[in-house]
Amino acid sequence: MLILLIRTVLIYAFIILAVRLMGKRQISDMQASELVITLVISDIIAIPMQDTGQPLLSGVLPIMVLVSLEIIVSIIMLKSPKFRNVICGNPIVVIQNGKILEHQLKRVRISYEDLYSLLRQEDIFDIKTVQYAVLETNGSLSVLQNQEDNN
Amino acid sequence: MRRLFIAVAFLLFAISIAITEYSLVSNTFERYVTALDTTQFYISQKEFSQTLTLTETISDNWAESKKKLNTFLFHEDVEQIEENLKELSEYAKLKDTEEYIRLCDKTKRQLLKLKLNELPNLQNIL
Repeated sequence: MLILLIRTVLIYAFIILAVRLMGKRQISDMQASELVITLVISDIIAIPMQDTGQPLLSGVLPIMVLVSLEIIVSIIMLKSPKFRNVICGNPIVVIQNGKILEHQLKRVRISYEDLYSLLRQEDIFDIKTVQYAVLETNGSLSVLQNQEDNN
Repeated sequence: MRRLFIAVAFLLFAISIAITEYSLVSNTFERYVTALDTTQFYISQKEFSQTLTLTETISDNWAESKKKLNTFLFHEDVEQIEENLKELSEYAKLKDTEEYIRLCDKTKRQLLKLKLNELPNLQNIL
């Protein structure tokens, strides 16, 4: 039990370090790859934390590699927009001048209901007031309203 | 930039740990298998005192390297081999050649299996 306790403290300290290195982001702001890495990390570390018969390194090592790759990839993404497009994809315009671009919705596999829900979250209840709505790579919706409607 | 240095340091650390583990396992286990082969030769020649001395030396060495090996390998596997080596010493004391050779073969297979499991080949990766 004491070993379990010490292991948990060590893993906690290591996870805090890893998360700090990956940067400050809320779950809703994460890119798909970041979310996947966060989930994978929690899964990897759970096993050596509970099983004292497994070397601690078997959990720590994959996390070190994942965090390093995440940081390196994010730095390359900063330098190269093309690389960023490959990893994160492009923002997609889904509403233009009050009209829903159906082909774009199909492309990103978002239903009308989901789109209306995203708009309501932005306090928009009339689609005609939207000049542009862009679906960002992290899944959030950025909306530009018509100037006269905004005033 | 500091973050990139830490990331690269993490990556290098992970690679160096992996290489250390691989070299430790492959070199150490090779030595143990060779030593066990020698004990098998001694016992087949009915040289029981030499068999016992060498087996006990192997067992002591394993107990010493256990600390290092536990850092990298599943503790259960390391313990299992330690128990086998202790049991081998008992068989050598009892001059039980048949059981000694049987257990010695089993231990060598376990050592080789652990070594093979660490090889970075396609089969292990997939």
